[in-house]
Amino acid sequence: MSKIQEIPLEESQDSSFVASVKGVYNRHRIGINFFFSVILALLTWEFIDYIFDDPDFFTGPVAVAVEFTVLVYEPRFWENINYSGTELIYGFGLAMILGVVIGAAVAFSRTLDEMFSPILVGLYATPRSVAAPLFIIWLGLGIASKVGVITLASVFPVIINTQAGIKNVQGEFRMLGRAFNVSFWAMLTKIIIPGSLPFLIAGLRLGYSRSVVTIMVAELFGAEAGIGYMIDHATQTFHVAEMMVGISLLTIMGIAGNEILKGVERWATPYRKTLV
Amino acid sequence: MSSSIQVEQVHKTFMKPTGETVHAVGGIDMDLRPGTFYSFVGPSGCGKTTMLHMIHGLLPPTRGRILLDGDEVVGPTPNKAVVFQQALLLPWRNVTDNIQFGIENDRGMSATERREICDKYTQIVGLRGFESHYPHELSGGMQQRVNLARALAVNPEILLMDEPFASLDAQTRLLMQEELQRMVDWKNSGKIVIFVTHDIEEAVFLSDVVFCFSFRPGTIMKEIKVPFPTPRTLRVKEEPEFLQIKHDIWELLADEARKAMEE
Repeated sequence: MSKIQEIPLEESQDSSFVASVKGVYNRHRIGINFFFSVILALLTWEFIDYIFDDPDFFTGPVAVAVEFTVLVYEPRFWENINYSGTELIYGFGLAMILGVVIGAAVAFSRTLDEMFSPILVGLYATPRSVAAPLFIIWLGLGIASKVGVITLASVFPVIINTQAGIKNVQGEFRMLGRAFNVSFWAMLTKIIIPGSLPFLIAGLRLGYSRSVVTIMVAELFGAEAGIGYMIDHATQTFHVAEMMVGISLLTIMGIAGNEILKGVERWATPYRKTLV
Repeated sequence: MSSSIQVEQVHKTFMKPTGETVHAVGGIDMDLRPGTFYSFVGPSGCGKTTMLHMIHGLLPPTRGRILLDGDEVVGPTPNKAVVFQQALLLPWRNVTDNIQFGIENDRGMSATERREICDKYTQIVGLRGFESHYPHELSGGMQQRVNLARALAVNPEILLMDEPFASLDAQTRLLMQEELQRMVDWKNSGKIVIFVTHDIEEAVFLSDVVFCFSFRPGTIMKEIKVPFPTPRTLRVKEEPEFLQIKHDIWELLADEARKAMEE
């Protein structure tokens, strides 16, 4: 790909064919580069599988795809996806709401900030895997304990980014609001909310990836179902292909959610299109 | 529309976080008349911006009082508008919507009226054709034009300008100085303009009256009337009388600037 870029402009204009290929590439370069990077990753993956040549030890993308077509006929498989998906929606949803509320509270109240920030930092630094068994003791083996762990893991980036976003925009535009005699409500709706939105969405993206990672952690310490449970079970019974399917599913969930949030970001902050 | 401002024996003392007190403004009297362009010129830390904030109502004086048409100034009011040193444009609003920011508070105004006012000032500051641009797509000079238009759109009787050209490059700055006279048009509109700057030449070029501030505690060392008729062209800066005024002010401020530098 870099070869195409290195062709000097004058030379590529000689042949209309080269020029049109270059034109197509330039117009769709992001898509084309993405496509090739995926192909390259899959080929490398398959190549490593070819070297190991041991299905009990490593499985390539072809074997994983085959395993997937088998698994889709098992109701248990869909149950697992449904279970983890529900955990993710509730866990991350709760983190989103709590994160924005707590973040706004510590941003607006200096007293709350001074009282709770040390605790928040301490909790943020505590490993998530420690929380998982505790939540199981408190909330049982069911879905509630998983939701709790996921919320705890992903709420902090949301809190911290919400607070940082509000503080940042307040610091920058407080003078403007005061000088033009703007009411608190107008300050909130016209300056603070739109101004902290990019920070907030960045926090949501960080929190979301932590949510997806934590699905695995939450289900590792005892669960009734779920993708993490499925991976754990497959590992213990040496079903490497099934394990790989589970890992791929988590990856897809991570990418899909992140892309949705990127879409939200583009929709909510269109002015940044030419900025980034 | 014509207001006047009386500043009577105003002092301002700040408390630093270390507990140390700073006497920023030390007894200032001023009598500001409509249709006049005033500059506050002086070294860093001479209290000129503090004085501007007190006239605006953002800071209360520690002693003395400031009267606007006989009433004491207690806070920002819609008849005062400010042009900041940094443009402070909202990045999610385009040029028109940024200009509109100050007049949105006026509930008595219809959307069409707002649009008309925005159009008028977009035209005046020379941003026709850039209405839908976002701040990051504008040069520093253009951002300052939006900053100015936002203040003018309020149609203030008092226009406060806090080193508005300080961050512009030297050429843009000269052009803006010349254009400012047309854009603000204080003679015909009866506005009081207060312009804070470090730049003596800029102060003399723009002003009807220049107030020279001493170093802390800031007092007015001299009030200088600039005799050239307005509007002025940049050519004025080469006239012997202009250079003489500039020289006299520098003589006056040099020691104060040295004190500021040594602090």
